[in-house]
Amino acid sequence: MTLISLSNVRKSYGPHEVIRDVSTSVAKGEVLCLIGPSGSGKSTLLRCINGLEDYQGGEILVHGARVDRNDRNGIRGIRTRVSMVFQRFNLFPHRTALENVAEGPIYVKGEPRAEALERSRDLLARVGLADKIDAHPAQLSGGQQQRVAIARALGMKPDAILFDEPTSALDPELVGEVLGVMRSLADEGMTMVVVTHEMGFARDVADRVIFLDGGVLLEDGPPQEVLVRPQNPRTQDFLRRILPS
Amino acid sequence: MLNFIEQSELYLPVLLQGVYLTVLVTLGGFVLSTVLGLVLAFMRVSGIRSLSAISRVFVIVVRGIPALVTLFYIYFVFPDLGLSLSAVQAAILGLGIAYSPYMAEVFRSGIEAIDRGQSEAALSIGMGWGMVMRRVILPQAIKVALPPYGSTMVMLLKDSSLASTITVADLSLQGKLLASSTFENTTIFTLVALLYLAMSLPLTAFNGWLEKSLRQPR
Repeated sequence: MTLISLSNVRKSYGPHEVIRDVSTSVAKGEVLCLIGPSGSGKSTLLRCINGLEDYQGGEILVHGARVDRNDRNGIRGIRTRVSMVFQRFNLFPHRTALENVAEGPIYVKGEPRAEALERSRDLLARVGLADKIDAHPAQLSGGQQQRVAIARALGMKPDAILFDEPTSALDPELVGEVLGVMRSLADEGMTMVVVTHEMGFARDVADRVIFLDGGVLLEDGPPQEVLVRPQNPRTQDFLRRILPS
Repeated sequence: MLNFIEQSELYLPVLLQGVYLTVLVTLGGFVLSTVLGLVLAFMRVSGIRSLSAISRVFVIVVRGIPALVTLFYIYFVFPDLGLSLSAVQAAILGLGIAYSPYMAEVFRSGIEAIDRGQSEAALSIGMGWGMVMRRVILPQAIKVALPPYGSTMVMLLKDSSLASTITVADLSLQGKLLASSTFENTTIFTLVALLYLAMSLPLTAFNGWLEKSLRQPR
């Protein structure tokens, strides 16, 4: 079943085209990794899916509903079903880990407070932070903050989660704990769209990998094909540069 | 010095009558300029072009006119337009309007200091603009805005003396009248200065207390 579909999506800043005619789709339970050099438009494309960016041409559908930033109620509905995890975590610094996770369920979805807090505790335990529920973000390491952010995304009971370079702002020794949580989510069947430079993660966890360059979709296939036997010379070149031989 | 203390006992009761009006005008001005400033700041960051433009023009125009002239305008010109206000009402309205651009800029700078990622994270869990402001941006912006807000409050307290020019018998006017009838300039204006200082201290202390109690655990 198709959850997210993109057809002929175009986006430009003035005369500068950053997404050129991209079409693809994400099925329920699928893990899709977006790779490509910086400036290739992969983060922008991801942010179009939940309407943090607008797009000028084509169509993005989530559950068959068009993603349209001008349709205020529509876009809010889509955002409650498609969560996002950011490169720089973007936790709310004035709230504890527990409050960060419970914020959306209580104030956006109107879940009963006690129930939402109980569920948020469970989610924090699930990402290995049962002992940090009362900590503020500033008291947590980058890896811990990102795991709170993942718990916050899960708190919305989403149909899919978008990850925007979730490990790029982390110290190398903290990358593993975040990828570990993402792996277990994938194992449980969560639909995920992940912009990443972690080729190991893409190879092991992704069902499909997309390679973008200059806003153009150059490869779309299973990781063995895209990462091991890329067809396009630009993909070959990119992988040669980032993968240790 | 002994002389100063003796004279103070004589003049303080008269000056304290003026303190009452100074406090009244200042507090009224605070409330009005804070409310107006918040409205202007929200209009400015609303993302709605017409509201933002109105706010911008209001700030430029009002900030470009001396508070003294704004007071004159309200007290002497408004009656010609059919709106007669008492001197105290005119002083409160005038100071409230004259200070609203500064308040607006204080609040706006607080709001704009908050990282874009905060509103993006809030939007991404389905919040609307109002809730993003209320739950995420304002609680953080207030900490940024407090120090300049405190200075603006002290400035407003001191500028409340402008009310004396439209016949409000505040501390500065009482001092001037008393001095011109007794010629005890040194004693009286020293007392006036000390009384203004004494009123600004609790403001500064209150602001410091707010800043401290809002500080996050690190």
